[in-house]
Amino acid sequence: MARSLVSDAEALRTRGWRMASPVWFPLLWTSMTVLASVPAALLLDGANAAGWYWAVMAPVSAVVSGWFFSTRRAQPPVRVGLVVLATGLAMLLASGAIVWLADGSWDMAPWLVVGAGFAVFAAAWRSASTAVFAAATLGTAVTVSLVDPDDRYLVVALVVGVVGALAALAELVRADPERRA
Amino acid sequence: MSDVHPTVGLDDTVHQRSRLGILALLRSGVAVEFGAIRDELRLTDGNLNRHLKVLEDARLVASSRQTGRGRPKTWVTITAAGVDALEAELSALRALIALAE
Repeated sequence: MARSLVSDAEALRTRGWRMASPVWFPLLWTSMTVLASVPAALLLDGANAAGWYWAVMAPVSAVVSGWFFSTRRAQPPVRVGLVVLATGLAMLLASGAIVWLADGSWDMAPWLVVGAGFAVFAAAWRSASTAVFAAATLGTAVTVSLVDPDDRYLVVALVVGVVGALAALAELVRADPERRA
Repeated sequence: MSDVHPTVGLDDTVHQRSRLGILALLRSGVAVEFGAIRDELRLTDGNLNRHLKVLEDARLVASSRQTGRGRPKTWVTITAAGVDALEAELSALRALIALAE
């Protein structure tokens, strides 16, 4: 009886952790769209190809992620509306900060927006891997703005894409029962 | 002879199979929707309501009702006391198993 109770409780605890680890989806989606933007910009090869790519992919990403979260039956411990508001404010402040940081240059602003948004997600879902992704995105955007290398977009896209994919993998492993033994 | 028998550590409120399951499912700390708990534990609405009432009275879980578009939803979260009670119960059960072996 005791063994059965412990076994059931462990199985349900694992199931609960799986339900509580949904951030892998936006992480994976973001990393894939970011990595795909590099060859997409080369293939399109026109003026502002990356700009057109993101003009399409940004709203698509928002809709897909919104759909994914709305279908989850587990939510962050704080109110969802508060998370949305905090994410929006963080994105607004971060994109404004780039003007001060890079003397009016806005090309790194989207990366700060992504980093700030995921920072709020990390706090809401108590996810360390999402926090690492947010910090890497913000740090890379700031560093690239200050150092100003030749291939600014390529550097940021590769760092954000690879770190995002690793963070998504870490989120999926988070649901591994062995981790919480 | 000062060792306390593990059964002393069992808490009647938590020990019941469904209530232990509810606490285990909520252990991650996120809010889980009433219907999701019901489906995971294969309980009826009435049964789950009764168990949640017991856990809420003991302040082991907290629930909030969300109204708006569509059907109202009830979200349930575990409290800090609930986490402690779950871990204590599982420790007592494991000690009991070890003693039996």
